[in-house]
Parts: sequence; C-alpha cells; structure tokens
Amino acid sequence: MPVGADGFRLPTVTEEASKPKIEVLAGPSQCDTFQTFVIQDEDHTLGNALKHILLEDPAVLFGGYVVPHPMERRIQVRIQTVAGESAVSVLKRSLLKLKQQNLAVKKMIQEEVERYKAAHPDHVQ
Amino acid sequence: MIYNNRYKLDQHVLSPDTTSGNKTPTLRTTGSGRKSSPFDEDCQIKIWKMDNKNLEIDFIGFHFSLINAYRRIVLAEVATVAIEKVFMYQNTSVVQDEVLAHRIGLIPLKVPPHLFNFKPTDCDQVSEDNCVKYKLRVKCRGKNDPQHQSTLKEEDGVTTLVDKLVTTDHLEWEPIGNQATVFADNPLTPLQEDVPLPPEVKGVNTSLVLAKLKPGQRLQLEAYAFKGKCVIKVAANKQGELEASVGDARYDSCSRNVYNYDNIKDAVELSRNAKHIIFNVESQSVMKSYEILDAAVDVLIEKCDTLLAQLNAVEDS
Repeated sequence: MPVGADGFRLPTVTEEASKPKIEVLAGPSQCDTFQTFVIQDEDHTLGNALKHILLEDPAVLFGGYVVPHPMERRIQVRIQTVAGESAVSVLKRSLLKLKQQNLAVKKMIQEEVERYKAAHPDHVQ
Repeated sequence: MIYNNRYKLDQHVLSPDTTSGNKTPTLRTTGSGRKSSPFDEDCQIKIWKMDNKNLEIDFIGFHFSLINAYRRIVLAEVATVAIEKVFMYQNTSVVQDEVLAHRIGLIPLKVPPHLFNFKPTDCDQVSEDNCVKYKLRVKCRGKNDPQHQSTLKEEDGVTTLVDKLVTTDHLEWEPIGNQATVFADNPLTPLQEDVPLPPEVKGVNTSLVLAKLKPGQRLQLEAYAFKGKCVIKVAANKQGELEASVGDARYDSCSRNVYNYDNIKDAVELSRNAKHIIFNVESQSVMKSYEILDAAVDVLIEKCDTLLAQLNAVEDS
C-alpha cells in the first residue's frame, strides 16, 4: 500500500520517472504471443481486475499476474495468446475494456446517486 | 423427515427499500440490452442507504475483481489531507513526543482534498495549494487557578489555557497565503463530530482528546497537513450474503447455526450469490461517502489511462 510515512516512503517523483510504469520483458522465454509485462507501483487492485478481463478475451490462452515480493510495489503480468494475436495488443484491448467498464460504472453510480438524492432529499445535504 | 420443498437460496430476493414508499425500486440496468455496454452480462447498481457518512450500495451482476478493486482503492488510494509533519517545540506533558505526533496525525480534518495538490517532493515548495498549517499552544493552569486567558503574554509562548484536556478544539488553523480568504466560510479546522444529541444530554465532548495535562505543563507545536494517498478512518467492507428465511437478508451474517439442529439441517442450503455484491462505505472524513466511491472509480480509470499511454509509447518507439 502506498502509505507515505518516512520509514516506508514512496519513491520520489524523480525515481519514478527513471522507471517506466510498464515494461515489456525481453529474453529467451519471451515472444510476441507469450509475453511478460512488469507494471511498477501496482498491486492486486489492478492485477486481479486486469486478470479477469484478460481471461474473458477469447484470444487469451493463459493470463495471470504475480506480486513477486509483498514489499515491492510491482506486479508481473503474463499473457499467452493464440497465434496471430500479439500479447501487447491483447493487453491494450483489455485495459481499454477495463477503462470502459469503469466509465460505465461511474455513470451508473452517478445516475443512481441522483435518483437517490431526488427520492430522499432529506438524507444528503 | 424429507423436505421436498427445498428453497434454493439464490432465488431469494433481498428485501425492498423500506426507507422509501416505493416497494419495487427501479434498477439502473446496462448490459446485453444495450449494444454499447462493456459488460458481458446485465449489471445493476442500487443504492439502499445513503447520507454524507454512510453508503450502502448493491452491485449486481458485476465481477468480484472489479468491485474488490474499488474496495481496495477506497481503503488505500483515495487521497485525503492529513497531518504529516509535526514540529515539537515544547512538550512537558507525560505523552511522549512521538506518541503525541502520531495521535495528531490521525485527526480527521475538514479539508476538501480536491482543492489541494499532492504533497510536494521538496519542502521549499510548500504553498497554499498543497499544505495546511496548524499550531497548538496550550498550557494547563489547573482547576483552582483563576488565571484568565487574556492575561497571557506573548513571551509565554502559549495562547490557550486549559484545565486538563487538550483536544482538537485547541488546534489553531494558521492560514497560508490566500487560504484565509478562500476558506473564510469553511475554515480548515479539525472535523467536528455532528452527532445529533437530545437537548437534555449536555456536557458531551465531541472533539478528540489529544493529551491530558497537569498544572504547569505545556505543549507547543506546529503541524503540517499534506495531501497524500492514505485515507484515515475510512472503512469499507463488502458482504455477499443471503439467508434462508424471508427475514432481512441484508443484515444476515451467514451464520451456520442452523446446522446445529438435526431436524432442519437437511432442509437448509447456505450459499452465496456471487453476482450480488453489497458494498458499504463509511466516511469519517470531509469527503462524502459517495464521493469516495466516485473517486475510487476515477483512480482505476487513471491507472488504465497511464498504462495505455505507456504501452502506446513503447509501441511507437
């Protein structure tokens, strides 16, 4: 959790700028359709939500995430896709879907809050 | 005894909204009905109870992972303003400096976070946009000492005389820059608990006690509040609960006591409806309960945006 007490301080802005938020790993076990991504400064919050979105995609053969160490705020997302689809494009598609779901939820919450406020004008100032 | 008429629990419907006269509340629906929906299934959102402090909202048809992300964001990543630095000038009370500083850091402040920027990385950049300053200058006179506050001189270093208790009331807000004019109507004082009390109840102290002093003891300190990403005293929990009886399923804790009775245990099946999430938000800060949830959704949208922008940049290079 990003609690900024000095003992467990957040990385400063300059440190964060030196590391990209998302990294596409290179190496012998990486290829276009079987790729690991390292996402800095994220945890189960994004990882779990993203994993479920990934698994809904028919192009995904394997999708998962790990938190390599609980004291380091970073997750690794591993995606294997069917031939002809690149893992990067699937990840982008999934992130876009997650964002659109959020926008939809936001709109629904706002509509519902307005409805509730109208129905109970004395409950909320 | 064999029960033929088994009652399947996921068919159980949660009790209707009793606070309004409307027994069949209309639900906001999205999903397969609309082609543009990003959800695979029908999804509904329904608020059951809402005021500034509490929110009980049902997410129906959503996946747990998304709603759990909101819960985690509400707890850890919706930013509020809290006291972060305490400069202790004098502390002759029995409360140790670090203990007192920690207590002060937990005070909920009446500071709207959306009007402030995040904490600066450099102390030189402290300004009216990102910092709120408080001072505590109290001395205990003792109960039998008639000394009045107006007799205090500047060289005493204290501005307030107390009998025993030092509370959040004694924390003085010291406006930085234009804060005095901008927040003239809503001073950035510690949050006051607005408990509605019957008129016959008197002498209730609704402010938070920071320390207890003996005569002559004094406290002099400065406290600086910044907007960080740590929410204080905001609790959210989530239960997916359903019960067998036609009572109020909303407040059932999924007790398994029914299995203690041999004669009825076979008639009961306890299960959860994984598609119906009851989401509670309790606010103890200046943000209203529904604003916290709204901010949580924004945080997740921002995460997606950051990652998408970076991925596009990686591809372009």
